[in-house]
Amino acid sequence: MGFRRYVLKRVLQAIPTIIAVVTIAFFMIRFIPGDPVEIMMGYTSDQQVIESLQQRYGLDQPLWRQYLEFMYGYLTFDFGTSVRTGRAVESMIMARLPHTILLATGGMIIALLIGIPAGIIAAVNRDEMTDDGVMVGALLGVSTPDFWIGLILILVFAGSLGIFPATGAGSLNDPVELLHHLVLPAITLGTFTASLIARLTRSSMIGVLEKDYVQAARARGIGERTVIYKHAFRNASVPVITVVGLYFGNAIAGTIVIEEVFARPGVGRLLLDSIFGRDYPVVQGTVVVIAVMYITVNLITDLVYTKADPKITYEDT
Amino acid sequence: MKTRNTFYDVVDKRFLLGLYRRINSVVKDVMRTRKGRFGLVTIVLVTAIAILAPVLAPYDPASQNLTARLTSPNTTYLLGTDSYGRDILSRIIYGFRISLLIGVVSVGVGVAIGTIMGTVSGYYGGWVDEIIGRLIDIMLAFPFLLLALIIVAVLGPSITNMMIAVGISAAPQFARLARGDALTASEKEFVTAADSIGRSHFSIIVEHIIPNIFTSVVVMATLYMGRAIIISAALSFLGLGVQPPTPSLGLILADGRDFIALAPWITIAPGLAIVLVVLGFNLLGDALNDALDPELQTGDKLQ
Repeated sequence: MGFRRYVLKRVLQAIPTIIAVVTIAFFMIRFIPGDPVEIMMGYTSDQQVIESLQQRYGLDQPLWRQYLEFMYGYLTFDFGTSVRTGRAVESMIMARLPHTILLATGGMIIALLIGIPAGIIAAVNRDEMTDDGVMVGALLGVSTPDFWIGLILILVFAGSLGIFPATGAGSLNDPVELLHHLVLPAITLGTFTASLIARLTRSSMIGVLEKDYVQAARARGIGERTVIYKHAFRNASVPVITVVGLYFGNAIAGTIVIEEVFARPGVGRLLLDSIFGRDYPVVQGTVVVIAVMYITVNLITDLVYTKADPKITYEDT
Repeated sequence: MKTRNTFYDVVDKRFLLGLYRRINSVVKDVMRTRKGRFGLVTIVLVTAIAILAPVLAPYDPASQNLTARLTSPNTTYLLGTDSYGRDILSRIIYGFRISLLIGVVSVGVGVAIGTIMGTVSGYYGGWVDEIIGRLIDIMLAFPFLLLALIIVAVLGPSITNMMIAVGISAAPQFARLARGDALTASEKEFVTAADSIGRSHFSIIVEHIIPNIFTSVVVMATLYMGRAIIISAALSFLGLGVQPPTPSLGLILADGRDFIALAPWITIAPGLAIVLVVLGFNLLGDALNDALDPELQTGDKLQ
């Protein structure tokens, strides 16, 4: 099977998964005990109000019809209207999506900037103090709740030092303001991933540094620096790159809590607000969007991985 | 020769003795490494604090002293008080209880559901595997946190619902692990042999498959304890998990957030407490992983 057909096959395989996600989003609010209209609107004794609302949200239709209409809506990018604001759900999500993508990307950049050098330094100084230091740091990094890191950063850098803002995301038209607001949340999101990347880079580098071609490069009198970065890291980076995509997927979900801590107007915070506000059309829309982003990133990672690693045949998945 | 297959016939003395020896040797291996010692000691210590909470806590974690609100750490209140004048130290000591409870129950739910799904799927194969495999794939299409969030949103926020939600969200990971192990084990000769002498599927699963997937599930369960505790703290922090006035570490952080500039001690100490518990489980999980190196599993170690 050629790579192109493999891509097609994987994309087609993702479609039933996405349909399942939308189906779960449809049924989730129907599993909530009680009548959706009453839950969303609060108890009202006025039968006419209830009926008109049921009609407006199509709840007077048979279930299969509601389901098909819901599916059709998502297929045509019509996610329904918000109960609270009366606005179209898809446009509410689109307005917030840039902030979420910015945060997830920022977190990954921080994770790579810290994780890769830390892992290389640890591997080169294996079993020395520096290595121990990096490994202890990485262990603390994976053991610390990210939202707490956020609170501590707010305490120090927004409160005591007053260098960075504690809340908000800035205006999309002002890059400097955006970056200024992004620093603390990105560090908060990136710490966990940075720790994972550091551990992985270290073990991958240690494996490569023992290889013959690295020894040969040294023997040829090539400077240690060049050996480490050009010969060793280039090979050690392959397994690291492959997991970065998977971590990126997780970072997308991680934004939910971080956005709440820093009061950033992103998709995750919209999800939380709508859960508390019982604005179910918005809950459904945000759940679908976050899950589809996650699936897409994982799919792309898988494809890049398959293309990059000649050992994997397209058949086995 | 057809053997009866009640639970007690299958889990015989020989098996229990083997299990005991195995656990004994694993604990020795774990204690040989630095991280293993530190992890085990931390977990034992935290568990002891949790059990002895009523003895150790200087105050009732719920009792409010309105004259001592937002008191900074001093000799009366070692870690200060919150906005209701409740002692932070006492709340953290009881918080360990809640955290361990949440970790054990939710991971237990995840292991139970996941292992059954995975073992059945891997052992039987065919259409059973197709269906369960699809289900696992769909659950894995949601990030861990998002899945837990959706389930809690449907069930309603409470500590029980949160434990169920976190458990279900972890289940596909355990299912995937158990499925792979069960598949490998089911192809081994001793399983075909057991099948050929007429042992029932149930007794084969309990006697041969479960012991073989046991070690890798234990390692993953230990590592998931840390994740489950962090995710639960996050859900409680967001207001979707443990409800006030129960002293959970995530809830104390949520309280502390409102007074972060005025009373930073409310935020600092419980966070460090979470790090301690999670660090303990991560170290122990790492050490167990090294000690039980799955690559060296030859199949019938437990027999």
